[in-house]
Amino acid sequence: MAHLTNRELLEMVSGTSPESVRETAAVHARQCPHCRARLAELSETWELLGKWQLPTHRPDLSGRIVSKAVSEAAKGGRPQLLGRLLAKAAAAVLLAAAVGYGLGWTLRPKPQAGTPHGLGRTWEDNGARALDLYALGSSSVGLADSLAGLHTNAREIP
Amino acid sequence: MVHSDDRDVELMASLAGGHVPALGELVRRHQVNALALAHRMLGRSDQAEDIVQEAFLRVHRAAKQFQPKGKFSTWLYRIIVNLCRDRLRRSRHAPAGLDETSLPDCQDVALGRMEAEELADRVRRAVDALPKRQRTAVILHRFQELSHGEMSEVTGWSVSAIESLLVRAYQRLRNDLADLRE
Repeated sequence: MAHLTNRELLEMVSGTSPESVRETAAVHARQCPHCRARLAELSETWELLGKWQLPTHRPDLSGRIVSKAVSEAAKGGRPQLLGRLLAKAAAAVLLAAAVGYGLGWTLRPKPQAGTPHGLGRTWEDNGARALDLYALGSSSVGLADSLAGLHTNAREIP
Repeated sequence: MVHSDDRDVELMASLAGGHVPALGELVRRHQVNALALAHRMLGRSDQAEDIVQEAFLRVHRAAKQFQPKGKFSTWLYRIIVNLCRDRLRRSRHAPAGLDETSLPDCQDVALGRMEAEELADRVRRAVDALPKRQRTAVILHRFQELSHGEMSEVTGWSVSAIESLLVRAYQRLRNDLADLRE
């Protein structure tokens, strides 16, 4: 005779088993001392646990929860929009920087054939590079420095 | 007559459409069981209220994503169980001891009531002493009266794992409360 499974026992004691299953299990329990004992133990524990009753104080939280939800919804509109705009602006800046860097890399002066990279560049190339570095500072001091750099570079090139 | 689950689905649809009073009705329909679950998980009624409030606020935030495949209550209990687990993990210790609201007043309470409260406290401590997963399984099964399938949806555990947890938990409780059996 197959004994009752754990699931059948648990569902019988909690009253959640389908009617047909409950009937079959009840018949078996009447005939099987082992399953009858297991069912009795489980039922006893089930009843004992029912002694743990919570205090009867039952607050109504609906008012305060709805107030909080309304307040959250009101605050949540503007910051979310601002956040989205800032994110889009940041993405646009990053994209522009990436494109600029990519273009700069593509358009960089190529080393002449037969010479190590970096040598044999004309003073115009170095000047252009110097201006790239300094012109972004957009100050007269920066520009003066870049012009001074041009003169130095021209003198250093063999 | 509108079935209880259908009413919850209607209210969630209304809430998703921005009708916040629907949230109030959902709270009134489910707060008793929600509070009981959180209270048993945490051991304190004040913390239980915080958890239930946060759970319903999450329901509000996620209303547009709610899919009425399962019961609303199962979804709500899942949120509550996860919030309680997080709270217990952060506090790094077992659920709180005696809840002050359940302490008997020795001057006014009849002997029978005091015995009932002491018995309740013994049972509570036995459940609190269970390993975490067994404890959660017993609370959902015995006190929230969820089916094994519903418990699986709430916890993410398989049905067979739940059954195994319950059998071990009830056996351990039987042993721990042996002196209380008649």
